[in-house]
Amino acid sequence: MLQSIRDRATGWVAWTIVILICIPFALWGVYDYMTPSQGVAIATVNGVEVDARRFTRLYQQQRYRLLTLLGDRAPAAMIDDARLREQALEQVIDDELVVQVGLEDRLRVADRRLAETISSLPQFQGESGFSQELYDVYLRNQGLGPLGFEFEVRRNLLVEEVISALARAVNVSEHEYRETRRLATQQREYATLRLPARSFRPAEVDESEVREYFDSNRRRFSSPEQVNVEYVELSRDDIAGTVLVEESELRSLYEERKADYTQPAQREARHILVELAADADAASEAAAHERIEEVARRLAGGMSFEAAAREYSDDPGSSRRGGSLGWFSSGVMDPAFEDAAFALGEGERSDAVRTPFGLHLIEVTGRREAGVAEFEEVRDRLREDYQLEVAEQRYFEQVEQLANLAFEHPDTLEVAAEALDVPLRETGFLSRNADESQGLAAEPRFLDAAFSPEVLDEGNNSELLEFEGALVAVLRVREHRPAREQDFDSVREEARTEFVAVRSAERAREAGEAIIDRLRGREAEDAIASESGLAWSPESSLRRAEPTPSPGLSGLVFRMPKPEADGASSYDGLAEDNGDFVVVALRAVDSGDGDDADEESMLRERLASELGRAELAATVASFRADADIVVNEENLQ
Amino acid sequence: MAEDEDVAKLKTWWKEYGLTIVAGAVLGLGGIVGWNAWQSHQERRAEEASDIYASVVAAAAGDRHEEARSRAAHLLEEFPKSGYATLAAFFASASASTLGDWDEARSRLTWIEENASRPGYRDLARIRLARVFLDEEDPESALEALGRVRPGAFDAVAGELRGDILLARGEAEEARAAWRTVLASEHALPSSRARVRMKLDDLGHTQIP
Repeated sequence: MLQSIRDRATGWVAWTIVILICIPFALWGVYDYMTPSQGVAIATVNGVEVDARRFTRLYQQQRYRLLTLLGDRAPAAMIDDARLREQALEQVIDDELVVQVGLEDRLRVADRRLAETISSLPQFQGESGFSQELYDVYLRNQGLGPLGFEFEVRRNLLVEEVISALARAVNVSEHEYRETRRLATQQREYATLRLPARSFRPAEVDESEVREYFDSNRRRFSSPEQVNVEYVELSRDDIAGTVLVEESELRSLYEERKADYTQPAQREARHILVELAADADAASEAAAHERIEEVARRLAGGMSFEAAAREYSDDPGSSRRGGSLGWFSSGVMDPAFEDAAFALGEGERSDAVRTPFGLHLIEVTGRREAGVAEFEEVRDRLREDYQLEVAEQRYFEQVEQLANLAFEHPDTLEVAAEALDVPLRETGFLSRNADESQGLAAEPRFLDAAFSPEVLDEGNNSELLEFEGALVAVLRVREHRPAREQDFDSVREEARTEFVAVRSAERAREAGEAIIDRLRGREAEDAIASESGLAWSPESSLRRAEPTPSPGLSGLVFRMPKPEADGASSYDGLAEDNGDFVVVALRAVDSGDGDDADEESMLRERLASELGRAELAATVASFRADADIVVNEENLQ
Repeated sequence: MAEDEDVAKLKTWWKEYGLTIVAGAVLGLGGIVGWNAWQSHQERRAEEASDIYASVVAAAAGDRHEEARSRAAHLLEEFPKSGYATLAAFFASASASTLGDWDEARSRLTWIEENASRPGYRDLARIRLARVFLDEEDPESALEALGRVRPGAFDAVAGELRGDILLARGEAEEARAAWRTVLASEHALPSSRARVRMKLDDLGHTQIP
C-alpha cells in the first residue's frame, strides 16, 4: 500500500495532482466573468452556455422599445416577433463572443473601476450622490443579488473596452468625408411634364375588354375572407353593476370607513378687490387705500355688499355676482386671503387685506368645519366604491375561470358562458379590416386572434385576450367565409372603372415614354409639350433625401444621370400611384452650400459613427467565423 | 513482533525517502504559492493596463487627441504584450490621424497588422491603413492594403472603401463594380447599403453614350 503511494507519488502523478490543484487558483480572475449559468442555455458559444434569461431580457427590452415607438394601438402583427427574437439571439451571441475574446486577450476590469462605475450610475443617485437605498431597491426590483449585478456590470465594461476600439477609434479619411458631404448636400434642379391619366381615358370601352380584364384579374374582385365570431366577454364594470348592496350593509360600511370620507374645512365668502400691483409705488398704494376705505365707509353707511361689489370691485369674475366666490377649502386662495377668510365668523367683514392682486374687503357668508361627512352625503360614493371592490375580486376569479374553461373545452365556449352566466355574443361577419363601429371586434388584438391559425384553421378557442379598462374576452370562429370569387355580373361596374383606370395609366405611360425618347433625341421641350396640349412645370430645386413632392419623384431625380456636358438636360419619368405619368427633366446638379459649421460637424460625426458600427459588425463577424456556435432552437420560446 | 517490525520498516522507509517527500511537498506548495503570486501579479498588470486604456478612451471621446495619443503610447511601451496594446494602438492611430500625423497613424496600424493575434484585428487594421493612405493621396498603397484583407466578414467595409479609392482615381466603372459587391454582401449594414446606393445613384445607373 505505502509502497504503491511512494511509487506513484513521485512520478507524473504527483505533478498532475499539483497542476490540478493549481488550476482553480490560476483561473480565479476569469470566474468574475463566467459564473456557471443557472438556467436554460439558449446557445453554446465555444463551449460556454449562454443563459436564456439574458436572451429573454434583451428580447423584451427591444420589443418594449418598439411598442413604445409604434404606440399602444399598434397591431401585434406589425411586430415581426420572429425577427426580433433572431436579432436578440444574434446580439447575445455577439456579446458572449466579445466577452470571450476580451478574456482570452487578458483584459481585466479592476474592482475599483467597477465600484466607480456602479456608484456613478444615474439610477442610484440620491440627493447627495450614491444612495445605498436606491441601489438595494433597484436590485430587489430586478431580482438580482449584488454579486449578480456586479457580474453584469463588469461584463458590460469588458465588452465596452473591446468595442470602443472597434467602433470609435475610426479614422474617417478627408476624401470619404468630402464625398459624403458633397452627396448629402447636393441639390438638383428639375422640371416636370405631367401626363394626367384622365386625358388618356379610352374613348370607348368594349364590354369584351372589361370581361377579359375581369377574367385575368379574378382574384382582385373576390370578396374578402370573413369570419363570424362568437365570444365571451367579462368586464369589471359590468360585474360592478350587478353587485347588490343592502342599505344595512351600506350603513355598517359607513361606520367602518367614515374616517375615509372626512371633509376639509370650507368657507363661503364674497369680496371686493381694488387692484394694486405687487410692486406698486407709494402714490398708487395710497390711492388704492383711499379707495378701499371709501368702500368700507359706504358699506358702513348701509350700502349693500352686492351693490358695492358691482360698483367698486376690480375682479371682473366675481363683481357681477355681487362679489361672491362660493365655497373653497384651504390651499385654493392666496395665503393672506385665506388666513383672513378662515379667521372671520359668519357674517363678519375684514379690513383691507393685501395680496399680490391688490386690496380686498372680505365677508364670510358661510362656514363648514372639518369633519366627518354625513351618511346621506357619501352614500352613492360608498356604494360605488364597495361595488367596485367586490367586482374586482369576482372579476379576477371569473377571468381565471374563463381562461380555464376555454382551455379545457377548446371546441366550445358554451360551457364557459353557462358557468359564468354571461351571454355568448356574436359579431356577425367580419373581414380583416373591420371598422370602429364594430366596437370590441375592431380591436386589432381581437381580429388578430380571430384570424390566427389556432383559431381559424384548428377551430380552437382563442387564448384570453386582455383589453383596456379591465375587460377580457375569449373568442372562437363560428363560421368562416373564405375569400370568394364573384361572377362578372355582380362586379361589372367595378371592373369597368378599374379597367378604364388601368388602361388610362398604360396609355399615359406609353405616351410619356415616347416623349422621353424624343427628348433624349434632343427635340425641343416646349414643342413637344404644346403638341399634346401640356405644359412644363416651373423649375424646382430639391435637396437629397427631401421627401417632397413625393418619395418616388425625389428618388428618381437623384437617381437620374446628370445633365450632359453641353448643358442639355437628362430625361426620365415615372408612373405615379394615381396613374399619371410624370416626365422629369434634370436641368442641373449643384453642390450644396455646406459652409454651415454645425451641419458639418454633425455630418462628420454621423459618418464616423456609421463607419464605426460597420467596422465593429465586420470584426465581430470575423470572431464568429472562427467560433463554434450551437443554438438550442427548442429553448427559443 | 509484527508491529515492531512494521515500525522499524516505516523508520527505514522514512530515512530513505523522507527528505524527498518533504522536498516534494515544499516544492509543490512553493509551486502553488509562486504560481498564485505570478497570477495575481499578472492580474494587477492587466488591471493597470485597463486603467490606462480607460484614460485613452476617455481622452479620445473628449476630443483630447494629444492626450489620447500620449497615453496610448505609454500603454504600448509599458505593456506591449497585453491585450490592451492592440486596442490602444487603434486609438493612437485614430488620434494621430485626426492630428494629421500620417506617419504615426500608419505605423500603429502596421504594428497591429504584424502583431495582433486575432485575424479580425489584423483585417480591421488593413482597412484603416487604407484610409491613411487615401489621406496621403497614395491610392496604390491603399488598394494594396485592402488587397490583404481576407475575404469574408470585411467584404462590405472593404468594398465601399475600394469604390471610393477607385472613383478618386477616376475609374468610375471599377468603382461601380466595387460598390455593387457591397450591395450583394450579406455582411453589409443597412446604413452602409444606403450610403453605397447614394454613391451608385450619383454615378447614374444607366450609361450615357
